[in-house]
Amino acid sequence: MIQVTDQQDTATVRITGRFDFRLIKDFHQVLARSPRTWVIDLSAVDYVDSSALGMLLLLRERVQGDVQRIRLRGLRGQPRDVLLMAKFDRMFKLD
Amino acid sequence: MNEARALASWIDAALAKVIADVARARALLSDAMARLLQTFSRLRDQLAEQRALYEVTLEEVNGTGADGGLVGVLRDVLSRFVQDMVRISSSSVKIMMEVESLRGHTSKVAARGQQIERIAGTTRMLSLNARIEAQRIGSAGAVFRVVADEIKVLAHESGELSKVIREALMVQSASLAKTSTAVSQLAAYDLDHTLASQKHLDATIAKLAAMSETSLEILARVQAEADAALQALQFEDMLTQLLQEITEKLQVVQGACRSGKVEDLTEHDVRVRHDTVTQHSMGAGSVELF
Repeated sequence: MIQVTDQQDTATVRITGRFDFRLIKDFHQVLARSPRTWVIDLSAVDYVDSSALGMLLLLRERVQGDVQRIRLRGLRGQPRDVLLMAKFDRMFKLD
Repeated sequence: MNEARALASWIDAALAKVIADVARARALLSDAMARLLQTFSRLRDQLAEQRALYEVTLEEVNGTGADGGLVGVLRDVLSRFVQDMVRISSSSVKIMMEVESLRGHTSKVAARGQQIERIAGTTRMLSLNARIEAQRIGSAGAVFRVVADEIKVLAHESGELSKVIREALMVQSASLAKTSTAVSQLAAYDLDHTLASQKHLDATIAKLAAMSETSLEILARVQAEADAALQALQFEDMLTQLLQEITEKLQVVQGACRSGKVEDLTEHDVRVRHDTVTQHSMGAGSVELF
């Protein structure tokens, strides 16, 4: 499940449960926004598959690779291990 | 006197046998020691060879400096696999999003088609009413009747055309849904197995490193033991010298028995006491004889 909170120039995207291909449609709608900064709260995510990484890369494309504009927050467990394995710590700012 | 000579003769014969036994013992000892030394020497060489091979193997597995070795290659393969999967997923997600957008547009166009069909239906009804009115006013409405008939035909055709387009769009929408499902299978790859493989690889590398360290330590200890054994085996010289002295002493006694001169024995006894071997143990590196 995806919940979005827009505050000033920041969109906080809170994802809950499994972050996988079933959220592609919802994530697509989220990408319709144009905030200055994106905060992706993954503290309530317990599983990610490769499509979740793909979605995050699309978000990165959306901000033209400006890593300062995206913050991945609350990574833990399997999602953290998978993102580190994919070297996302070199492409995103991890809180 | 005869008894003394007989005793001396018996001792002489006995001593000759003892001297021969001692000589045989020396030969046996010498042969055994040579083989032992050779065996231990080979063992030491093989241990050194084994250690060198082990170190080369470890280098090939772990690599040196910029070369990551087998471990590096495996890590690289895993890393490339993950990168490729993420790239494929990213492209697939993008395609799925585009397909969903296309499906949305298709639905909107289909809805417009339904509107066109409704308008065509209404137009047909109007043309029918117009024809009835034209019929009612007689010959004056003949032209209007023709126009009403044409409008009816056009409305019917546009309605039919719209229906065909809407049906085609529905087929396309279903096809896009199938495409989306197929692409979603490309987009969604469970990375848990890859993650488990990486963790397993890390654990194996750590275990291998610990085992290598222990094995090298064991090899070094065995090598040290072999060296110590080789050093300890040098007691052969000491034993040979002792046996030589025993033989010499026995020969002196034998000579005295043969000559019957006891003073020869006494003189020799004094000399031998000063030459006695002083080594009593084989402590490592303390062979005093050499």
